[in-house]
Amino acid sequence: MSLGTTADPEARGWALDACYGPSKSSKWPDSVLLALFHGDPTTGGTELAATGGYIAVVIDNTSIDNFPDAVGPDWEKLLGVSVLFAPSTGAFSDDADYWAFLSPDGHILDSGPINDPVTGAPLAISVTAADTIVRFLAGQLSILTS
Amino acid sequence: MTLRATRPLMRGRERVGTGQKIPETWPLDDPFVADCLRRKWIADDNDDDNDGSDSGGETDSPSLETSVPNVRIVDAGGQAMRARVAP
Repeated sequence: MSLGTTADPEARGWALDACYGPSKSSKWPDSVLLALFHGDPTTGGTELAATGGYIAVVIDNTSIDNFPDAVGPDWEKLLGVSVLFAPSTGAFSDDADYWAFLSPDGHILDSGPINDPVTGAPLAISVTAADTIVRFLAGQLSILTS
Repeated sequence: MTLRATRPLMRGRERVGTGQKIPETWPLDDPFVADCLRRKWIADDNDDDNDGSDSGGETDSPSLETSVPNVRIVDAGGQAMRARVAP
């Protein structure tokens, strides 16, 4: 997704604020789904099937707690709360190596690779049995404009 | 979404050797949560009415069932990079 030609980093943060949180545009949905994907959603990757207890998590997109205003120096938009997926009831349909915010009607809003929050290395989450919870801690998901 | 002690008696109980006490609510990013989940000291207040139970509220959050005896938590992170059109 492009944000036009602005070169001002703070203005790019404002543009992100217009997508998520209480300052969002009315065009953007009031709730977004955090979904797990196998493969890059922008190049044919697919969301995990609804097996093994997998279901995307609904996040209120009007909440300042969920989406605090972007702040410098990088003007990233952070997910401000921790999000936990429901405990697995069995194996997921595939490894999850990408995440995405989706609109309730299925539009891909933003997406990126999943990484290890400690090392930053790419991470493919493999859920092969029951009783596993996938968790994104507060501040570990972000959107940045290059 | 917050977690609450499942039983009032557990609230204020001290974590052995640390002096840390279990609050009524605390954020999910507290690593202590995993321990408490395994011990069934806490439950997700799924319906978001902050009464410590899963009933009576207006909306449902994703379930975090404390019936899971040995839950494994996989932490993840990620960044979406939006491309900026060059002037």
